Formats: sequence, structure tokens, C-alpha cells
Amino acid sequence: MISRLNARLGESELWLDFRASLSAQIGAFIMVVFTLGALFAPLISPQDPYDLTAINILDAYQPSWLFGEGDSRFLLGTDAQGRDILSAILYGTRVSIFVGVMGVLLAATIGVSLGLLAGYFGGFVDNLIMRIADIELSFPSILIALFIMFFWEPGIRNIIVAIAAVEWVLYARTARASVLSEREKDYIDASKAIGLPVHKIMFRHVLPNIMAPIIVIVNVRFAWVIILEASLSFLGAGVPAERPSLGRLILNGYEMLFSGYWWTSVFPGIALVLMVFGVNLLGDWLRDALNPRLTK
Amino acid sequence: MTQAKVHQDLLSVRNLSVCFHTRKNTLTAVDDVSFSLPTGVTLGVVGESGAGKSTVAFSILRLIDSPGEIVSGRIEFEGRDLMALSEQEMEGIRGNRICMIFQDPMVTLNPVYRIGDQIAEGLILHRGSSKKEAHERAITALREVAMPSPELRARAYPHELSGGMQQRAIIAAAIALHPALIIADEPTTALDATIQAQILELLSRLIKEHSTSLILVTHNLAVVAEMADMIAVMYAGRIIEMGYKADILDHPLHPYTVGLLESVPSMTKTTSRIKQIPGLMPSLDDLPPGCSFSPRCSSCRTPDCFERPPLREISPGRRVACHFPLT
Amino acid sequence: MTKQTMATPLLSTEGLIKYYPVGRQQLLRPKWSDNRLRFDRKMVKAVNGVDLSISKGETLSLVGESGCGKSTVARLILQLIKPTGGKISYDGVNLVELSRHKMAPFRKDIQMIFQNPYGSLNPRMKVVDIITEPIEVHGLGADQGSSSERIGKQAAVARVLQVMQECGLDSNHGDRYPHQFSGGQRQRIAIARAIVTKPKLVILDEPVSALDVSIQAQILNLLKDMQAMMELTYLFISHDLSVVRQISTHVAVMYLGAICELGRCDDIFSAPRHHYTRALFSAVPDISSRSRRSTKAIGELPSATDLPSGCTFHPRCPAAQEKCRVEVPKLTEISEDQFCACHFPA
Repeated sequence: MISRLNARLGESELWLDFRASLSAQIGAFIMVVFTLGALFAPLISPQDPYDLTAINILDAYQPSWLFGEGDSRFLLGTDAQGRDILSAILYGTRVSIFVGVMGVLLAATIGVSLGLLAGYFGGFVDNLIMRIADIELSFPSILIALFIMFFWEPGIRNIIVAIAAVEWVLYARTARASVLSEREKDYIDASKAIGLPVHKIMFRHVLPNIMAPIIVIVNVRFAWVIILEASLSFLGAGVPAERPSLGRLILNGYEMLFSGYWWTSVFPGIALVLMVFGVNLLGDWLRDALNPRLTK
Repeated sequence: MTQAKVHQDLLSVRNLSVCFHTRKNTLTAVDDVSFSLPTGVTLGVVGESGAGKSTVAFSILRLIDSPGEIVSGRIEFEGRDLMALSEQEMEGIRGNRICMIFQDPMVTLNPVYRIGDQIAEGLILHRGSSKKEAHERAITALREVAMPSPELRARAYPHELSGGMQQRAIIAAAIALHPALIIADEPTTALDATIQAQILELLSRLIKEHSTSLILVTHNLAVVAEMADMIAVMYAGRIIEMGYKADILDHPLHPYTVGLLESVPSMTKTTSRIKQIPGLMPSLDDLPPGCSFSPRCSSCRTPDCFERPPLREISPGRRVACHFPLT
Repeated sequence: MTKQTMATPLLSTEGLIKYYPVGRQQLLRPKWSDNRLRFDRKMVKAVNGVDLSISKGETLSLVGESGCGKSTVARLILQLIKPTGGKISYDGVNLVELSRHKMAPFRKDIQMIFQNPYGSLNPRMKVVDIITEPIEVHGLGADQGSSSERIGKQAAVARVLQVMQECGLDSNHGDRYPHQFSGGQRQRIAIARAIVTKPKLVILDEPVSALDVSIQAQILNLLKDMQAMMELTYLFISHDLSVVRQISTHVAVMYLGAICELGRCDDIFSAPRHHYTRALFSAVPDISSRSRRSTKAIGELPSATDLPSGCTFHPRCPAAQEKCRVEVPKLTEISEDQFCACHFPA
């Protein structure tokens, strides 16, 4: 598996595998579209939906131009304040992706560090960290996140921390399991025989070799974190209304869902589903592609 | 062992070629291999790792799965061409007329079934025996392989037995149906020396008693020296020398065989420097044209070696693939 | 290396013991003895009292089957595992008593080469970095002073390239990763890493067992050359008797955690006295034999948690008598420089 990542990109087996997998390419395509859309939102969105001067309350609840007889300025319609839904989605994706990426990175950093310590040292340290993890896992993660957000005001930084506080456990367990198996390998013994100090052994020898399953989890959990944030926002405990994520947007339009103004909730919902689907497709492929296969 | 007088060979492999398809290219793991095996004879297939010997063994039973593929060849066994049989007909042969013994007993046995059940399975399947009969035959087979307390062991799970006993159980399963041919792929490599000796002795006795033919695939020349009647030496997917054991070991003709035998350290004499063959066996995607051994060959000096040497019969039963065999 | 040698051996062990507890507290077995209820922990006696010594320039081979404890002895000497008891003397210093900090400078002098060429190199490190790492810790060896000196980067690089060439590696391939090399080449990398700091003692744990015969010959020759060139002392661990025959000056045969026979290589191979040694030698197939000889040892290896009483080999020994069941034989000198732990040696 290592060879697949190390060989030159154009010739590497990973790339050839990717080219052979249609689902991976679709997933990657979706991800690229969303990422670019989010990155360049200020440049490509027809309207800045949070610029109070750009919106006009008289434009409120315009139906989608694509589906109804709405205004051609608003491809997907407008919400209660006259904000263009398409623009709101683009900006909302920014928040969703940002929170997703930061949440996952923070969770991974904390989780992998703790897992590394637990796996390498074993004994009391291992017990302590793993029991905390076990306790945390006995609660549904969304409840824990809600609980944390209950004590803090809604805000992007807070929700990232809340997500990390919930997500770290999986990384810690996976890292620990990998460390346990790498620890027995001869090259670790060789490092000890050379006389390398413990911290160098952990970071130079163990850590790079446990990253493969972590990378897979990062990708897979990214989708889950986006959904977690969306759920929290939908429940009102996530990002604030001024900088909504896709989940928040769904909430914003929720009450009017059955009054006929369906587009304010449905389109952000579709965007969310599509993005998560893309992430999952890519994640599934990556997990199989990085799986060490038995070859003679 | 006497050279058995045979009217027709038990197994005859002709022009067997096996390829592996990777995303980048297609590798030839076995290249035009042919040999015959009479009844009651043990053939040792030797070579280093990557030479293709296990692939040949698996091909006889058509156990090659994608990305591997048996590209060509005729495998005649008991008068039928195994390549022409349907998968169902092959299943009737595997475990019945041809049995295989693999290297790692821990992996061969199913950990969730008892030993006796696993041996009986073949009997029920191929002989239509009742469960009771099959179990009795299984215990008899365990007795034949000198398993201590066979009735007790038959009810044991694989993990309850040591490596040596597991391999005995596997051999019991292999001989219970009195196959005509046993193919053993490194059967003792995973075992300790003293256990290895017991297993080899056991195998040797059993095939003599039942006149079973044996194909023994191994990289261990010493094992082959003790067990085989005939030897085939493989290099980079081809058989480069073949003949009766004494001829090959005492008068090798191919430079690789010579080098290989000289590299084997001996327990009886010391030398200050062990003779070594320079270089490495080429990997399958980088085979030299013509004779695949020529880059490492000390006697190869002429451009003739750019042409692939065919496996020629020099004397009855003796074949070499070399333009300049040593005389 | 024997007790008669005048010079202090480079390395010696005395009563080396390593026991592993098996199972958890609940599995303590209650036993009534000495009028008290005692709880015996089930123990795996991996190493059960090993005395050996190696003098400078010698190659002592530890042979035995799997589970005899030879690899454990290697790891104990290197202090990768802590011994349960016993003494390990290197150049007069007892390594067991040293703290990790005090042990560190000795690691320059004692190096190890492992069995598995696929597992003993960090797959994510470039080969040149793998070989440079010991220099980073220790400096450039005996003649260059301690590691606290700033070793010039150039000097380090030069040494690494030199060592790579000596080991038969192409110095242009330093930027590659281990998986891009064959098994034999990886062992060359492992050897380069072991000798780069100019050690005095190298422990080799089955260094050629995983290699093909023709590559094995190359590596053994390399090891012999290195030993001659750098005046190394080897502790060679192997189950392969023919390899041991070629490379050793002295041999120690281990069975179930203890040494049963010890002596000069030629003596042991031409006239083994212990019955296990004889059984082992007869069991190993030799290329010069043309038919299967019958083995002298019958039965299976006993479990390591339940060692037989007295001489641990007695259940399988063709010459066992009542005394063997009761009394543990000590390693005694039966002829010049040959030691055997048997009540009735052949």
C-alpha cells in the first residue's frame, strides 16, 4: 500500500485504480465542484446574500426560475428576506466545508495523539484514555454535541470544538490499534536498539506508518461531520443565523416548507445530500484502494 | 527407489503457460512448462522464490484465479485433459484423485470445524459415505498418520493442536481418499526441524504404501535430495533442467543448477567463502530476452544466448535448457 | 570463550532468566504447600538460566528450534526486554543494572540485524536516512569521539556512502524506499545500518532465514568479509544448521530456554554429545544424503508453561533414565572446551 502512495503520481497504482473506478471519479467530480463553488463564492454567486444593501425584501419568496415563473435573477428562488437561494447555498457550502474540514482536522489531531500515546505506552495511560473513550462512546454523539453547545453560544469556533470533542474517539481507537501492531515490528526494535529517544521513535517511525487507516477515516468521517453540523444547526444549536451553513439554511426555510415555499428548504437540502454523497463515494473508493491486498 | 515401469504416465503437463494481468502489463509467471510424472514417483520442483513453482502446482488443479490466467497448456491426468473439464468435473477431482497440501497448516484448516469433520467432509462428498462411516474412516486415517489418540484428536479444533499435528491432520485428509497424486507446496517450511523430519518420514512412508505420486514444491534442496526421485529446476517461470535425482545433484548440467547447488551450505564441510551466484533472479516484468539466466551466467559468453534455449532431451529422462550445458 | 580462556570475554551472561506471566490474576492456581495456600502464576519460561560468553573476534551461534528462547536471549542482551534475573556483562559492565540513560552509549557498540528484511526497515523512510540514523544518535564511532561532538554533515554523508558501497549497495539508490529493493538488498541495508557506527559486537537474529539460497550465500559472504575487515564479534542466531556450520567458530545448542550443549563449532558438529543435539542433527535434511533417515527424537515439543521436571528433554530422549526425570543436569565440561548438560552424554 505504501508503494501506491510513494510511486510517481502518473504511474502509481493508486492513480490507475482511480482511473478505473467510475464511482470514485463521480465522487471526486462532485467534491471538486462543491469545493470550487465554495472557494469562489464571492466571485461567482449572483448576489451576496449577507450584504443587507443587496437584498430587497420585496423579492421575498420568489419561486425558483427553473421550476416556476420566478425572476431570472433568482435561479433557485429567494427566501423570506429576499436572499437568493443559490447564493445562500454557495456561501452556506463554505461554512459547511470549513466546519467539516476544521472539525475533522482538530478531531484527528487530538485523537491520533492520544491514540499514539495510549498504544505506545500501554498500561495506565492506555487504560485512562481508552476508558474515557468508552464512556464517551456510550452516549450518542449528537447528544454530547448538543450538550456542549447548550453551554456555549452558537458560533463556528464553538461548533468546531464541539465536533472535535465528539469525534476524536474514533481516531484515537484506530490509531491505537495500528500502533499496537506496528509496535511489534522489527523496525521499531531496531530504532530502540540504535538508541533513539522515545519521542523520536513515536513521531519518526510509528506515526508515518499508522496514517493510512487514518486517512481513510478522515475522508469517511468528513461526510458525517458535515451531517452532524447540519443536524446541530437544524436544531438551532449550531452556526448562528448570520452565517448559516447548509443545515441552518434548511432550518430557516423549514416552517414554510408546507406552505408552498418549498424551495427555501429543499434546495439547500439537495445540495447537502449531493455533497455528502460525493464525499462518501470518494471515501468508499479510497478505503478499498488503500487496503493492503494480498498479492504474490 | 526403483524407476517404476509404467505404460502410461499418470500426469502429463504439456506447454503450460500462466499469466498475471496487472493494470500496467501482463506478466508471464509460467512459460511453456512441460513434464511427465509416472505412477508412484516423487517429482521435486525446486527453485527460488518467484520462479513459478507454486504457480505450476496450483495450475494442475486449476486453482488459478484472476488476475492470473492459464493461457495455454494440456494437463493429462489419468487419461483426461484437465484443462477441458468443466468446473464441476474438476471439483470431482480435487480432494479426491488429486489432493493438495499447503505450506501453512493454520491457514489450511478451518478454525471453526473439528478435525474429524474436516477429514470426513471429503469422504462424504466424494465417496457418498454416511456420516458415521466417514468419521470412522477419518479416525483410521488419523491412525495411519501416527496421530497420538486419534479418537480424541478427531474431536479437537485446529487451534488445539500443535503445528506438526495440524500438518498430520492435513496429510490424513489428503490420503483418506487414496488419491493418485498429492501435490505438496512447501509442506514443512513452517515447521521445526525435528517435526519436519517426522512429517517427511511420514509422507515418504505413506506414498510408498499407497503408490501415490507426489509433486513436492520447495526451495529447500536438501528436502528434495532426500524425498524426490526426479527433480525439475525452475528459473524465472521456466524449467531449465530436469532429470533423475542422482543425475541432477551429482552431475548438474545447467550453470544455474551448478551455482545453486554450490550455494547450499553444507553441514559437513566448512569453506572460507561460500560460492555465490552474482546478481538476482530477474523480476517478471523485466525478463532478459532469450535465456533468462544469461546476465548472471559465468559460462555464457556468446550472443547465442539471446535466443531462448529450448528444453532439450540429452539422454532418456534428462533435459536441459541451455546452449552450453556443462558436460 | 570458555571458562578456561584467560582474556575477559567481550560479552558474557550468567544465569539469564526471562519469565513471562500468562493470563490474568484470576487464573492464579491455588496450591497447598508448606502449610500455606500459595498462588502460582502460570509462567512461560522463555529463557531459563543461560550462561554463555563470547570473546573478541569469535562468532558464537545459538541454535535451536522455535520456542527455545534464542531470539529472546538476543533481545535480552540488547536490553530491548528486561530480564527477570541474571547478569549480562559487556566489557566488564553489567548491562542489566544500567538505566536507560546509562545504557545509551553502549548501543553504539552493540548492534543488531533482524530476521525479517521486510519488517526491519521503516517503510516510510528513505534508505539513506535509515542508515544515517545511528550516526545521528551516536556520532561516527570509536575513533570520532562521542555523540556530543557536532559531527559534520559531510562526514556523515561520506561515511554512509562508504558503508553502502561496502555492503554492495548502489550509492545512487539512497533516495529510494525499502519496498523498492529485494529481500537480499534490504538485508544489505540492515547490515549497513548496523555497522555504520563501527560497533564491536553485532547480534544477528536469523539474518538469512528469509532469503533464497543463492542470495543467502551472498549475504553470508558479506557478513564474513565485514567481520574480517572491522574485527567484529558476532552472536549469530539461527535454526539452520548448515548456515551455522559455515559461519561459526563456536556453537551453543538451546532447548526450551536453556543451553544443552556448547563448544567449538567443529567439535560439536563432528561429535555431538547431547541427545537433543544428535536428534536435531539427524532431523535436518542434508543435501548430501539421498534418502530419509529416521529421526531420533519422537514426540512433540512440550508446552512452555509446563516444563518437564528434571532434564527438560527427558520425555523425548532415547537415553533417558530415572535420574533425568528428577535432577536438572548442569552444563559441565566433558572434554576440552566442550560443555554438555546431560547426565548420560553419548
